[in-house]
Amino acid sequence: MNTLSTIIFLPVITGVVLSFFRININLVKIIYMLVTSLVAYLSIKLYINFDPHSSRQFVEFHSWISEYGINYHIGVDGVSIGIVIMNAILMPLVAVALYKQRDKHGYWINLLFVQGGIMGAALSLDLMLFYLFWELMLLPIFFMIGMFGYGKNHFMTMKFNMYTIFGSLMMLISILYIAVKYKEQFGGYSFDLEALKYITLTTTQSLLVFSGFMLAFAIKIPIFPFHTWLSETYESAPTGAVIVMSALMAKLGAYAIWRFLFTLFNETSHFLAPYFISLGLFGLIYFGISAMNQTHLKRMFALSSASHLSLIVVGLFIYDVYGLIGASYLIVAHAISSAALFLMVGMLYERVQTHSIKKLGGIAKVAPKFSLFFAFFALSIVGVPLTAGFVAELLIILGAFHYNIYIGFVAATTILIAMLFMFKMISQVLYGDVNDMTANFKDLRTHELFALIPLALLVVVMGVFPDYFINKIEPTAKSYLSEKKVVNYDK
Amino acid sequence: MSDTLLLNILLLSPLVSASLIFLINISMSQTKQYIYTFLALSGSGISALIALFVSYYSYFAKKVFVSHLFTWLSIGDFTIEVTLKADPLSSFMLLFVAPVSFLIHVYAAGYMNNDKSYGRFFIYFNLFIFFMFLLLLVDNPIIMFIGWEGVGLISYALIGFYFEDIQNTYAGNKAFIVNRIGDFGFLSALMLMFIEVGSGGFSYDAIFSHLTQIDDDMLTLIASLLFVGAMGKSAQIPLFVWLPDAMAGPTPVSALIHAATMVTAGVYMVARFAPLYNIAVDVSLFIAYIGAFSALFAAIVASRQYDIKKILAYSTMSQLGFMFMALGVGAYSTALFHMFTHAFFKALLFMGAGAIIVAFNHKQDIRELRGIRYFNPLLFIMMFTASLTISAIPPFSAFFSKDAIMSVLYSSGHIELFFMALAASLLTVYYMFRMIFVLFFSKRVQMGDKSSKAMIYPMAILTLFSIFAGVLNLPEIFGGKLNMSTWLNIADRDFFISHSDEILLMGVNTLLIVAVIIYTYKRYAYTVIIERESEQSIVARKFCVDEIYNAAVVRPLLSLSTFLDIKISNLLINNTINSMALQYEKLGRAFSYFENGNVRFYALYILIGCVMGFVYLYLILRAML
Amino acid sequence: MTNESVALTIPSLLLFSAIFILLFGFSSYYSKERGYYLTLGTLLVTSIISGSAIFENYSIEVIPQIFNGMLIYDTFSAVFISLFLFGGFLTLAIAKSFIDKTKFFTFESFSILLFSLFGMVILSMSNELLSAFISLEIASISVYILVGLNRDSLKASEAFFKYLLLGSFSSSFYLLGMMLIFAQAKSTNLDVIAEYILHTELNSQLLIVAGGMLIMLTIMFKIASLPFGAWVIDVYEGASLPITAYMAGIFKIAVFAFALRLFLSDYSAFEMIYDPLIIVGAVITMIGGSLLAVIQNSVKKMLAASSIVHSGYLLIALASAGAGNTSAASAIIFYLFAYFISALGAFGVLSYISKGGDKLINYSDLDGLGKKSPLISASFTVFILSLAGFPSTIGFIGKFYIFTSAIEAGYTALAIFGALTAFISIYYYFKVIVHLYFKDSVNERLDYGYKVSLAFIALTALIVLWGGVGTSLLVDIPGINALNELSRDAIESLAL
Repeated sequence: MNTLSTIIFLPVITGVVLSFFRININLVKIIYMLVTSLVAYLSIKLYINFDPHSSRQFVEFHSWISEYGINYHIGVDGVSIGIVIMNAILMPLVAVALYKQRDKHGYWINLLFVQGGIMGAALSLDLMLFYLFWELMLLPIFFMIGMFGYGKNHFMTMKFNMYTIFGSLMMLISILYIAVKYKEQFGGYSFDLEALKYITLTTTQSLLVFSGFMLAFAIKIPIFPFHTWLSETYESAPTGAVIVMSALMAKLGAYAIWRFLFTLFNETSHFLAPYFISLGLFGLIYFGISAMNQTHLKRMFALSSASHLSLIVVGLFIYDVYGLIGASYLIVAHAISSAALFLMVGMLYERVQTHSIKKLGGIAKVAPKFSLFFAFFALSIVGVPLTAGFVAELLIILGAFHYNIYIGFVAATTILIAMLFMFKMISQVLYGDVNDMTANFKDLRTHELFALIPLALLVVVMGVFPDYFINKIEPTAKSYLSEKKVVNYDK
Repeated sequence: MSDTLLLNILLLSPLVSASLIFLINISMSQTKQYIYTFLALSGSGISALIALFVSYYSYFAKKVFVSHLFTWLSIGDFTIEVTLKADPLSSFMLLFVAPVSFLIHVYAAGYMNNDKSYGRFFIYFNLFIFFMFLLLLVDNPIIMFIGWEGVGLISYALIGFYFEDIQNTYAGNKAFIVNRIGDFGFLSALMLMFIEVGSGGFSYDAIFSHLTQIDDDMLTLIASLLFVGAMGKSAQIPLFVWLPDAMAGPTPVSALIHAATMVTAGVYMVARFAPLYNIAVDVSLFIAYIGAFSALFAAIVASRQYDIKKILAYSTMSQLGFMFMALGVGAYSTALFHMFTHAFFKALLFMGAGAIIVAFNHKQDIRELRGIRYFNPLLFIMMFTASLTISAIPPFSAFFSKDAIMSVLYSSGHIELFFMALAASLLTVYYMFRMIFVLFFSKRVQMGDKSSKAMIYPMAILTLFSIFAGVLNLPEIFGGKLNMSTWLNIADRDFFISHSDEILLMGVNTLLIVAVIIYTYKRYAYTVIIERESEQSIVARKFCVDEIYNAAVVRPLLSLSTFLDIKISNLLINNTINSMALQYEKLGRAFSYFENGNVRFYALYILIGCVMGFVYLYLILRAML
Repeated sequence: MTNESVALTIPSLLLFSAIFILLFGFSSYYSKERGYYLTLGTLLVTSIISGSAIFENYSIEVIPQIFNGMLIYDTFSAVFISLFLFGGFLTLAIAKSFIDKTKFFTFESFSILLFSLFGMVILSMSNELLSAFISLEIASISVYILVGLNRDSLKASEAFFKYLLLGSFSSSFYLLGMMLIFAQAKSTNLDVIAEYILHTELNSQLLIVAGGMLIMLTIMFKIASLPFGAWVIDVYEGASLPITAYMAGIFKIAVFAFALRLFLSDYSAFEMIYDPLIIVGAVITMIGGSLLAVIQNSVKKMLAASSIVHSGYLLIALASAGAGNTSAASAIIFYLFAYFISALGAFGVLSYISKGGDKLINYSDLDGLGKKSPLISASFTVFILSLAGFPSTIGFIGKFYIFTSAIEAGYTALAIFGALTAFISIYYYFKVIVHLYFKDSVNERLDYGYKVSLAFIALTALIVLWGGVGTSLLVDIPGINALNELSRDAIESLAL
């Protein structure tokens, strides 16, 4: 079995096996660690061996449902490599940070499932396969929120689930539609990305199909106005689930826009780009401002992620080399930072049993290490120089100015937006004098440090030496740009 | 030792020492203080030495040190190299930044003595120098922007250094946010610049060589956006609000960051982009006016302040205003020269203030600090000298720099600027000596604790500097030949002013200053008039600028935030979706009325269906036949 | 064995053992155990025979006409027959615990079950309206009785009565339709009718059209599509769980077997006349079904209501098949299999955990089952997901085929509508999962005994999963592809 299939199915199979045998929870954790570390090792090796200049690599192709031309077709290229590596790196670290808090089998098993699911969705080049994984990765999250969440989690997990599945079903119809069209034009079904690229649709058809896809992605990301599940879901979700959702799933939505929409509906994407750019910019500002007055940490970070994801969408739809690379760089950068932040919010909750910003304060006095890392990651979200976020935002802003000066100015406000809430929050949570709640706040334990230090280092390295990472994705972005076809539908 | 290595060490030694201190500080709880001191001083000391060496060679041997480190980023045309380049301007900046920061390090070692977060302080301090050097040394604006933001970040951290009082951290937030607003302009300007000329490389030289390709409107836009950045950093109207609050930080911080070095970065940046501003003349004029207004405004406000550090803060803002006036009329080297002298005497004043503050356990109100001359005469002398310097009494250094500014303004043809500057400088004299007289000339006599040598010696050195720094750029009439201007060879616009006029100007100016000093002496020395000044006057309340900003910007934003989150997201969108679900369930209940378990109803439905079917069949068959 | 002999063996075997059990029931040797295993054995044997018959002569060949063309044994009927038998076998196997725990499964109930199966087998083979009617009635009447098995329960008797009444009412439509057709075509043999339709033009076929619609109404009644299927919830509620599974799973298929034979081969000429009817029926069925399903509190009733929705999906496919799309027809067969296996599993789980009591199982009764008995709840989850059409289950593949065929036939709007219904169905299906796993309850294991039933439930769950991802890449067990080919062959065999 070659690498890609291994990193997809190793976690899944392990999860299945673990869920059948009720073994000691510590053993489960150890197995989890082993498996995820192995996956991480494989993916890092993949990343190093990844040759940016050839497009698709490590491709596997097997026929699955032959009559309908559905194949097991996976491969990695510059678009997906970022998601893969993030997924592989974050999962073990999450375990390192949380292994003391969580002693339920389901928690770890679901994490394994979701890792496999995300890997599959990121790697699959066949639309049905993609749909399969896209839906499957939802299920573990559904279970995690329902089983280990806080507050009215049963309602929220249901709502989140319904919301997402609604989008997915519309996407399914769109997929089927283009497959049928393909059959009409070429005889015989195919769901392969490469094949479906060549179908020709009328304007209305392509617009409708496009919106079918976009709905699914927009809900997952989320783009305004499909965001209302977001903050409540994050609020009631357990740490692991929140990390997966904010750091990986949402990013997967953005990734899918590039992978599928730009491949299948190139013209339509360019035709609609202005609308989505404006929507993204609106979201950037809207979510940023909404986050200002939040008193619930997770809600605030949820909105902040939403704001950054809107920026990612902007970067994608700008669709030039700076925008695309900036967006995919921000995907990774924000994945790391937000994962770390949610991790630390989880630690904070475990210590003081509250998420309310108002009740906190003075942590810096009693827990210097914690507050150091917390402030660091918060600032990296804001995108201060020498962090990865800065590079990404710089590139996106550059692309925006390239696209249109006014768009550029609005996009540049991102360096203001994030501060509006972040600094106030930092002051209120870390600074000031301690209260009875934070008076005996435990500083970071060793294993938590072990989880956070690699992330912090990664953020800095990606901020100081971005060139190495950029080189991995630049050719892919260029190749997409080369096949950019613009037609105006007004005629 | 090779140039490359020199520059790299110059840049990195503060970083190294900072990270060493960090590691020690984070890893072991109890550490001897002198280890930190040693590391911090060695870090800044080494770089100071090298800086002097570099600028020496640059001045005499016209030598340009260059060191290419690595490629930061390279996408498409967007290629950013990290290259250190000590051209005359950079080495001139080094000439005062590095030594002053070293001296303030020494001072801080005394000031922060036995502070519980001594280590943390020096981590920030050394990091600050690192970013400052980065800002000065790199040869392209993007990396400069990194340094630019870096110093802002450190200043944020240092303003909120005593975070137990949350107000300090809020002051820090304010500083960073206002600076970021400036950076927004700066960044946008850089992006536009890249769009215009970036394809030919993005180092300063490359940009300037392509300036002609940019059309005028775009150039004006870029120039003004750049200046927005300068406004933020150098606390000019309207982005000055952060500077007074920034005094919440420890005094060495105010001395180093908010007086001598960081705030002057804006001036440096404008001077750096001199070629651009020489083309965009109208923007330059705008800059001049902004400078003039800031200078006047700050001077007026300062004349009614009672917090010793606030007074100095406003005076800093006003001095920066002078520099921008000079920049605006295109006398770049003059502005830089004033910045040079200003660094010394303003640092000195702050250190003196700090010494006083420490001596009188953190009292800052000059009305409580009266009659402190005798507890430390040396301190008094130094403060007095500094005040004489800032009020441009010959032959102190600032006399030359400020007088140069005066004369260029006079000869630039914008006479209104000249008079504003004159008023500002006289006010400067007024508020400085108000402070001096209130502090030192009083019937009351107070004694404070003794200041440590670590604090006094650097001040002594700085006193000497602030007296003699003028020699660097003696004007012709004193037999100098403007060595600095020739060294920097920036594209100054040259103004002709006859020696007779110049002498006249100096004479009048000096006389006025002396007169003001005498008036101030009469008014404040040995009197209690200061107690009788009302704190409610509009001036004393700084023209309510903070209140206006709060009412106009901050509160609307907050209420907007609540509105969006509660009203739009929650009520409008979320409730719509939820209610759709509820309505559906209601519909289901309604529908279940048909499903009522009565067989006859079911049979009825079957019949209805059957009838409908037949009606349909009838219609369609008629249609078909 | 030749096709003919298979075609004769299976029904006669069923009949034989049915009658044998009737007689045996009076003897002192009879015990419920024995009756049960006898039935099970018969079903096993017959299903093996028919199954092997399929896999022996896989290809489509011209079939000997039995009873001069009244019955026909082609791949189509072979597939359906093995479905019934296998389904019956599974139902019984899963229902073991239920049957043991309840009083009313007496010997005659087994033979009635066999009779109904016999009826269905004949129905799927019948190539002629009259025999079809007779076999349909045999099946229906035995099912009526099965519904009313539990004489002590009022609900059961009520359900039995309702079903009987409405059933016979609807059958009368069939008779009328058949009569009209005969009046015009002078025959009840499908081939003859097809010939007639082929060689005359419309205005001399009006009666045939009308009769066809009447027959269609009956079929719609049997497959419980609204507005004819209003009985379904009451009846399913009243019937004991294994019987509900039997009806929802198998009886529906049987009716469809005949419907397909009728409307795909002979009546395909009238597709433009019937399609709008079917479409309207489908829409009403899906709307009504999902409306009813959302508001139910009892899982059983929810499953009943959702079975209406599934009939709606099938009607979509039927409409698109009418629009001359062969893959749609095979999609129907696939979906039938998918639904039948999932529903069987779901009801089976219910009957397993109900311990033979006839009280309704509400959502809240499932609370914490995930902790009490993981295996049961895991398989239940699988069935639920499959019914909801969640990927990696056979239910998803079925929906996938149906929607694809609908789009291919040009009914994109219908497909979108189906997707919306599926979206709504997520709500009431996932509610089950919520109660299984999220609601807290005591954390002690519960043992229901009857490892056999449990094993068969698990086996069914595995089949469901395998039908969702099954591929010869991993192990060489016939997976999705095999099922596809089978259903395609079945459909093509109709054309001969």
